[in-house]
Amino acid sequence: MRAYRRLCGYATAAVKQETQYQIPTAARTEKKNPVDHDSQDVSKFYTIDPKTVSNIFQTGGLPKPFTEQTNMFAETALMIRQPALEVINSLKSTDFQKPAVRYLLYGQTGSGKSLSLAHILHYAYSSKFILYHIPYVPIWLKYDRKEVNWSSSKNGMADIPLIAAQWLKHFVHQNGALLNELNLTTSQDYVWSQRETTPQGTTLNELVTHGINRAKYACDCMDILLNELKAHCSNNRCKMLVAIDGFNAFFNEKTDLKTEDRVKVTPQQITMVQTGLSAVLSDWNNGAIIMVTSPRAALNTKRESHLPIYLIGRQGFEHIDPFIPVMVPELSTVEFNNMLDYYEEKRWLQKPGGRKELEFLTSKLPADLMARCAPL
Amino acid sequence: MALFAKYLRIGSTVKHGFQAFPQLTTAKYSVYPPHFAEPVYKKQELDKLYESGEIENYKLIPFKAAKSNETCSIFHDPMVAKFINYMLLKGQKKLAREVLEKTFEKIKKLQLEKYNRETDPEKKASMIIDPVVILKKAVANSKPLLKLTAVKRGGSFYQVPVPITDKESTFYAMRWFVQCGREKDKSISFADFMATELIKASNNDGKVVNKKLDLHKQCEANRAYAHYRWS
Amino acid sequence: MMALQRLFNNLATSKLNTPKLLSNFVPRCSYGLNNVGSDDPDVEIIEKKIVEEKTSLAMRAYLQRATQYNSFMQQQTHEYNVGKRHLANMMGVDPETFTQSDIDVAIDYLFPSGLYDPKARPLMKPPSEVFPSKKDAEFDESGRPFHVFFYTGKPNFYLILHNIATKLSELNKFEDSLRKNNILPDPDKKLTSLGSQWLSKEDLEKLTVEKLSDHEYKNFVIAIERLLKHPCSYKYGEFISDYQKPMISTKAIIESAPVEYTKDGRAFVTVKDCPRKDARADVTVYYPGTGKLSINGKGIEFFDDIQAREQILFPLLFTDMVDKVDIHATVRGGGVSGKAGAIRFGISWSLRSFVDPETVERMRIAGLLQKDYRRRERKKPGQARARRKFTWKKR
Repeated sequence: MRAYRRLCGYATAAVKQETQYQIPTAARTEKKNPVDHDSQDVSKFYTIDPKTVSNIFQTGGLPKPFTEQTNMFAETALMIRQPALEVINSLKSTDFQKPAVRYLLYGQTGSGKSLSLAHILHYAYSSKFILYHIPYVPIWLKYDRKEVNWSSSKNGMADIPLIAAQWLKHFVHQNGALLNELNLTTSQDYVWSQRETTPQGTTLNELVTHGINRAKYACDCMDILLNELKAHCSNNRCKMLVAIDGFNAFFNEKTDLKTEDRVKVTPQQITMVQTGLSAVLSDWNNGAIIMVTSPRAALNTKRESHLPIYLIGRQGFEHIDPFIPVMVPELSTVEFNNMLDYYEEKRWLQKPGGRKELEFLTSKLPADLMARCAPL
Repeated sequence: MALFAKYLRIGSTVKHGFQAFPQLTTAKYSVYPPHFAEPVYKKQELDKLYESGEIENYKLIPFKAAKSNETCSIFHDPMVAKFINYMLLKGQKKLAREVLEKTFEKIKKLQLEKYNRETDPEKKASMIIDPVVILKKAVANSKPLLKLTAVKRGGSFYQVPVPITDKESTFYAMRWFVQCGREKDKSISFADFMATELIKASNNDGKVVNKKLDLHKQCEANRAYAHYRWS
Repeated sequence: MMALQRLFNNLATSKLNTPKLLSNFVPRCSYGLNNVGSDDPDVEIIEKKIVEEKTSLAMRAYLQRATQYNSFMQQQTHEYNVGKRHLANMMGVDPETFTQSDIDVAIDYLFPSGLYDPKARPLMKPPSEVFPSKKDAEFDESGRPFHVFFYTGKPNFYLILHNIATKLSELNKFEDSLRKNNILPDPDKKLTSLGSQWLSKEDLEKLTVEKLSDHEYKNFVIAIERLLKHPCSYKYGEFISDYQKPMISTKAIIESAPVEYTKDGRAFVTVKDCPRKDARADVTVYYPGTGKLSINGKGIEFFDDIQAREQILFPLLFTDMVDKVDIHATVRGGGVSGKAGAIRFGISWSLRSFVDPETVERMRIAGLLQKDYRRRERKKPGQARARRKFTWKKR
C-alpha cells in the first residue's frame, strides 16, 4: 500500500511540479483573417474557424497527422511563417492584369510546405478567389487502381474517372457558394454523346454536377472547367488561385496504374495530369499559381535532394519557367520555442525542458517535431 | 493477504536508489572482466554521488561502455527501456520502440479526451496524462507479492507459494502485459490494446491486474503447502 | 631470483651458489662403513665417494641444469647491455640515457616489419622479460630440500597460503586481546578492496614460478579475501597489498588526443578509426562551434532511426556542448547501430580535450570513454545458433 502511495505521490508530485512550473502559453494572434496578417505576426499561431476549415479542407488539403492533432486539441491552429506571408503579400500587391504569376514552394520533407499552402488557401478563400486546388497529386497516381480507361476524346491518353469525380466534388465543396454568387456560365456547347449535351450558358456548378454524376466524362469535365475558368478570369469576371501540392509527381517516370488491357501508364499519359499541367501555364490573368514540390511526392524514386530542379527535372523546369521559388526552411528558434510552448499548453508535451535535445534530434523540422513529441 | 505476506516475512519494496558502491555484475560470459562496473549515465545520479562523496569509490573502478539504448536525456527512462526489451521479438528493437511510442501517443489521446471533458477542477488536476507515469503506476499495481513454484514432495509436485524479490516481481508484471498483448484479438492493434490495458491497470482494473489477483488467490488457497519450502 | 629471496624471508637458507656447495660438502655420517674418521674437515674420505656418487647423480644433473640456466642468463644480460650500447652509438644517442622505449623505437626503425602479429616482430628486451624465470636448486646434493614446503610440490604457493593462515590466526588473537579490554577494532582503519583487484592466476604463476590449477588459484583468492575481511587486517596491509594490483590505469583516458589548430585559429581534435562492431568512424570536433553536424556529408538525417540520433546526442548533452562544437564525421562499415556507436565514441574521445578533468571522469563513469568490444558471438557446431540449441528430441 505504501509503495503504491509512493508511486501515486510521484504522480501528484508531477502535478505539484506543474503548479510550481508554469505551463507556458503559446504566442497567438487574434486576427482570424489571413488578409490582416503581417510581419509582426510571424511565429504566432492563429486559429481558423471550424466552419471555414470544413468549407476549405474537408475533402483534402491538410495533412492527416495535422487533422488528427486538430481533433485532439479541439482547434485548428496554424503557425504564421515567413514563406506563406511572403506569398500572401506578393498576392496582395500583384497586378492581376498581367499573366498569372507562378510560385514554387520547396523544402525538405516535413518543413511545413503543405501547411503554408493551407495558409495561402485560407487567404485566397477569404479574398474570394476561386480555388483550383489539387490536394496531393500522388493520390491520383498511386496504387494499382482498377478503373483506368482509355480516354474517348483524347487519343493515347488514359482517364481515371472516379478520381476525377472525387476531385470535382472537392472543387464544388470549396467553390460552390462562390460560383453561385459569381454566376459563371459556360461559353459554348459541350457534346458528351448522342443524347447528352451541356448547352451554352449552363452554370459551372451544373457542369461540375454533371461530371460528378457521369463519372465517365469527369476527366473531360475537369479539362473543360479549367478552360472556362481561365476564360472567365481573363475576362475579369473572377479571380482564381491554382494550388497544386506534390507538383513534382506530374514528372515521375512511372506509376503503378494499369488499364484494363494491363498496359502501364506514365503520369504524362493521364488526362488529369495534362489538365494540371495546363493549369500551370500563364495563358490567363487575374490569378496566381502556387505549386509545392515535395520529395515524398516522388514516391521513393528520387532520394538524393529536395531541390525542385532535381525533383521535376529539365522538362518540368522548362514547363514552369519563369517562376518565383520560395523556400520553406526549418523552424527558426522563436518559432521552435513557440511550437513547443503550444504543445505544452495543450498538454501534449508532458515533459518540460529538453528543448536542446529536441532541436538536435529533429533539426527543427516541424513534422519531425510533431512526431517526436507524440510519445513524450 | 497482507497477513499472509507478513507470515512469509517479506520485506517492504526496496526503493530503487543508486548504490553506495558501484554494481559489479558477475556475468556468466562477458567480454568485460568481472571487476568492470555498470555505468552511471544520468546526470542527477552523478551529481548525488559527487555531493555525498561516494564518487571516490567510483574513481577506482573501470566502467563498461554505455549501452546503445541509454542516454542521459530527460526523455529516457530505464523502466521504459526495460519494457521495450520485453516487447522485443527477433531483435527488432526499432519496431518495438515504435510500437511503444504509438502506445504512449494513444494513452495521451485517451487521457486528453477525458481531461478536456472533465469540468471538476480537482479531478482535472489529479488526472494523469503523462504516459510514463501511467506505465509506472500500471506496473506497480500489477506486481505480485508471491509466486507459485513446483516443489516435489513424495513423488508429486505441489504448487508452493514463495516470496519473490522486487526485481522479479517487476519482471512478472511487465511480462504479463506483453503476454496479454500477444494473446489479444487480431483486429485490435498492439498499441491500442496496450494503451487501454495500461490505463485500466493504473486504475487497478483490467486483465493484468486480474491476473495478479488470481495468482494471489491461488497462493492463499495453497498456503497449507507453504512449509514445503523448507520441508 | 629476487622473488625467491623474498619468499624465503621466514626461512634461514644457505646461499644457492652451486660451486660453493661442492666445496662445502660435509659427509652425512661421520661413523659408518669403514669406521674411519678424521677431525680435519678438509680431508675427503675416499669410501664416502660411493655414497656421494649415488646421491649426486640426480643432484648433479639438476645442478647442472640450474648452473646452465644461470650462466645463460648472465650471458644474455651481458649481450643485452653491450647490444644496448652499440644501438645507442648507432642511433647517435648517449648510451647512458638510452631507455627501453628508445630501444623499441630504434629497433622499429632499423628492422621495419610487415608482420601482422606484434609478437612476431623483432624486439630487444631485457632477458628477464624474454626468457621465463626458472627456479634455482631446490634441494642440496644430499637431496635435502631447502624449502619447508618442498614436498607439497608447489612450495612457494603453499608458503603464501601458510602465511595467510598464520596471519589470520594472529589477527584473531589480536582481536580477542582487544575485545578482552572492551575495545572494538577501529572501523576507520578497515581495509577495502575498492580500486584494486587480486593478482590474476597468470600473475601469481609468474610470482611463484610454479604452475597453478584453477582450483588452487580459487583457494588463494578465498583465503586472502578472508584475511582482508578481518576487521584488524590493517595490521598486515603491506602483506595484503603485495598480492593486489590496481583495477584501472587511467593513463589512456587522461592522455587526450593532440589538439590541432586550423588556419583561422580554431582548435580541433581528430580521432581516427573509432570502432563499434564492424563500423569505423573518423570524427573531427571543432571547439568554438555552433552545433553543426556533418556525417558523410549529410546532417543528422543521415540516421533515420531515433535511437541512432540519440546516441550521437548523448556525449554532447552530457557535457553541455550541443551548440558549442562543430562535428565532422565520416563513417563506414557496419550497420546503423554500429555507425552511431562509432561516432558516439569518436565524439566522446575528442571532447576530452575541450572539457575539464572532472567532466572527463564523469564521462568515464557514464561509460562514454570505454571502447565497446562486444562482437557478434560465433555459431557453434552442434547448436543451431550461438546459444540456441537444436530442438531436444527425446528419441
